Amino acid sequence: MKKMILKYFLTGIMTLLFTGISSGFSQMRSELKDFLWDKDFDDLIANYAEEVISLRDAGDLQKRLEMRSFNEFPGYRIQTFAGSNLDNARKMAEDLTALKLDSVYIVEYEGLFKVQIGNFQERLESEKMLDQLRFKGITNAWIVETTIHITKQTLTSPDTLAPSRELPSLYFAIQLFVTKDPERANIFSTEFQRKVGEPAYIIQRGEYWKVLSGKFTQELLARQQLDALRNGGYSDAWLTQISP
Amino acid sequence: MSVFTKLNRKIQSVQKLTYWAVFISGILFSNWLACGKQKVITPPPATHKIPLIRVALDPQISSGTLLFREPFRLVSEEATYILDEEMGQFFVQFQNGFLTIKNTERSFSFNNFHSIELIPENEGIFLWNNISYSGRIIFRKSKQSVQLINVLPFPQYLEGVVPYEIPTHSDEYYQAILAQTIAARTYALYRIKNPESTNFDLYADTRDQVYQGTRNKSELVQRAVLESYGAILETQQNDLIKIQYHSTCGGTIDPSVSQPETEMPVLQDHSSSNDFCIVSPLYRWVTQLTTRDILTNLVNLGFLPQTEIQVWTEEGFEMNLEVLSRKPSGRIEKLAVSVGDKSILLQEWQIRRLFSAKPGQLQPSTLFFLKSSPSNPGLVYVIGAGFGHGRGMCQWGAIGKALEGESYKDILKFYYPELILNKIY
Repeated sequence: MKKMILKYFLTGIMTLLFTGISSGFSQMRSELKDFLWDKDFDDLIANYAEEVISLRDAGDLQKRLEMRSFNEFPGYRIQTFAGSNLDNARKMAEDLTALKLDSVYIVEYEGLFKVQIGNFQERLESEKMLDQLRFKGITNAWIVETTIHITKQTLTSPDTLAPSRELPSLYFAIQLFVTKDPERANIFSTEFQRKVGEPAYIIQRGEYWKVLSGKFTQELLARQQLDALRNGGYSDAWLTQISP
Repeated sequence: MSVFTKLNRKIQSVQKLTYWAVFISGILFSNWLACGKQKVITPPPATHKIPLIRVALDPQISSGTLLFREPFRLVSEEATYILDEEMGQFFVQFQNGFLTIKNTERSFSFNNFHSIELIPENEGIFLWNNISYSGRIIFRKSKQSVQLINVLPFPQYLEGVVPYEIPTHSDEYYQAILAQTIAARTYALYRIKNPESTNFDLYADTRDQVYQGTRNKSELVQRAVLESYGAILETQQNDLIKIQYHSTCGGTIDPSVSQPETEMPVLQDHSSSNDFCIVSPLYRWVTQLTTRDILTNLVNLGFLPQTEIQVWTEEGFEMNLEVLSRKPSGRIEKLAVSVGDKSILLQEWQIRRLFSAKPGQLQPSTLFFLKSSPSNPGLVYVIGAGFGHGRGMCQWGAIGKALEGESYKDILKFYYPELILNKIY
């Protein structure tokens, strides 16, 4: 019994010694070094060896999902346009944006460009928005069931799902790429969204086109996302502040 | 002749004798004084001819640079050329079946040859790829490649081996250096009798013993080579064996003889009383590996195709590591890895490759245990002891013993209890 207690005690010490050791193992912590140096290796094997170990790797796909700043849920959007002409879709999107009702999306699916407003977790919210749209003169609109993205940091606070007009004067964003060539900015943005699965948007500043991702009210959250992106291969990403 | 004259002559002869006696005593006294000041170690008279050894500096050369510090002869099958050290550095290349040795002044090209010999005068110092060596060089053609072989006397070879096998920067290590010199001599002599190839006796790297010429000359090693002149270890039946030694045993010598080619007698297990190598920087060590590191090492070992692991790394996977058996010394003998639908069995050096934190390199030893990370399911800690296979003499243990005041004979007796010391030249 005494032996068992001693063994658990020593295992506890060992766990403590390992906890907090992250990378840079070449620099062994002095406590751990002393601990290992003091003991016969036979005793160390007898007391601490795990002869069978099961490891688990979540996979890159899962990591990318965890890296995204939003979660996917089944939800609703209002669709106001569906057609093969991108210019018409853009024009419709501009008209909707001018109304400042909610976020406006152009979604491309099998050659068809769709203009949508959203997102809504509940059908009732989408029906309210549909009424507002009809009141504003857009009568040819309908509710579609789709997958919607909800930003992780706002998940617990439904109020922050409100339209962009409630955003502060400046928000934090991750700048991914900057170029003088708008075509290159477009290609980069498309590629980023395909790889990471996270929305990216392009803004023009003078003669430069910037590809950005994320809208954060809190710097800490933006920095967490920045670290995730840098670890995910976008080592040149940096934090920036942008007005809405 | 008067009595006076006779007496005078007698006195003169006595005086002459006295002068001679004083002169001879003076010489003897000065010699005695000189001997008292410094211990002169001279090699004992050779009973056998000192052997030459053939070391493969590069068993398959493609290119390199060669510089002589003194005049040398280039001897081919057709002619001999006398060359001057002032000609500077030569560029050597073997390409499309042609061996070219050239610089701005001279150019030699050989196609149909068996061997080209470069023989320096006097000390025989030359630089191959900026590392200095002594002795002569032979470019030997072997099938479709050319080997660069350094032929030199045995003592000079040892002077170029021992500094790379054991630390030599302190007088306090001297007895360990002596023991290492004898072990290295024994190994090299075994290789002369059982050469790696018909063209050379041994390699200049860890496949045999690391040899780096005169790059790191050590007075302690030179002294040890002289003092242990011709001394080797052999069996009671005077048989030469392929002796083994390693860096750090971590506290337990491996008495195993399971390694192929090993002709070592089974050693006693010193596992309970052998912590002399506590002075080694690798007495204990810890590394950490992720599932990805292990997967990469499995691919490098040839157990998994790269295409297969891409699916796993994308979608996620589970990996089980199981130590199947350990040797009496605690070293892991067999280890199984199961990942996906694959189950892989690894042994000896494969285990050291599997847990290496640097792909392609060997982890220090198989004397280790695994511990899972308390916070990361994809991380494993490897806690180990020692460096090397653990058989034969522990070099850091020898240093530890030398620091305790033990002699080279004690050290060799401890690590090779079944072997005896003998002199072969």
